[in-house]
Amino acid sequence: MNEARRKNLIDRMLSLADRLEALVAGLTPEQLGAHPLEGEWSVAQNIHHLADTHMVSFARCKLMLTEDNPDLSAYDPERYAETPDARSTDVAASLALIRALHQRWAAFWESLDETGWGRRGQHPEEGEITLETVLRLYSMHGEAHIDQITRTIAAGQDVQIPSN
Amino acid sequence: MNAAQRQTLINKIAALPGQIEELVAGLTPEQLTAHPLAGEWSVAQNVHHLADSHINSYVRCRLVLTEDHPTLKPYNQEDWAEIPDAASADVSTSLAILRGLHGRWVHFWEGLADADFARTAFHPESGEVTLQSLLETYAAHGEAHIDQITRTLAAQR
Repeated sequence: MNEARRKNLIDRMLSLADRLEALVAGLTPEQLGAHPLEGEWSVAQNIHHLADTHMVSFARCKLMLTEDNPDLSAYDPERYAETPDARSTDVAASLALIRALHQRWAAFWESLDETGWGRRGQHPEEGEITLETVLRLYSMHGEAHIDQITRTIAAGQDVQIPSN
Repeated sequence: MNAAQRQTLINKIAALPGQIEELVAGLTPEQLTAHPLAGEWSVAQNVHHLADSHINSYVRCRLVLTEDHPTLKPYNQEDWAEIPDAASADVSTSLAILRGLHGRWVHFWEGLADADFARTAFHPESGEVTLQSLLETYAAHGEAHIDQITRTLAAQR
């Protein structure tokens, strides 16, 4: 991956908080907590999940930079969606967290040299990954949840259209 | 420990972001990155460390809640403090991380049942820990760094 491509991914992560805030602006607690798509998370759960998983992934990046090919299994971001604080409909804390975390993460990415981008860790499912892989995966992860939130909000609006 | 004593500790965790914001308000980049105490971190490094450390702590707490006696992973805090984003004079990011994170963490602690506080984990350096002991540890950790920041600022005057 060249420098311009990396910069593009970092910029997408940096703009994630703004895009999320625009998506949820004006939603009521009921809309934030609703599950209009069967088997899918509420809008609030998506946002808490982004804050949680990206926090964990940020910590993984630090481990990969400061240790030699560390085992990352104790930092599995997908494990935590169901703890009580991740089900609240108050998304303000998670939005603030996402904004600030991505700013620090961008400063982290921008401080890496070529050797840094190649630092490795042992991922429980993906096997050996590099810091560059983490950037690619989590940039895509943000986009995937923007998509899921957009679909969830659209489905919630369909439900509210009077049926007569 | 009874519920009221626990609440006192949770309140300390809730209060930390505001206390740190107050301590660093109006400091210049030079004051934030100065090392007036030999061998100790700058004020900015303390603030970034609190954000990094409590990210780790929060991950650990959720691991202890969702798994059966997990092994916690230590990390090298001295090395983490030297990574450029953790030494930067711009502490606004870490202050906001602490705000958001402690807001979530308070929800986490307040959502626990009594029995949850007894859940255990193995820490390679500290031995067996419980959610109760982690609450005590992290409430005290915040206060220790308030003390370190206060001493660092006093040494500059």
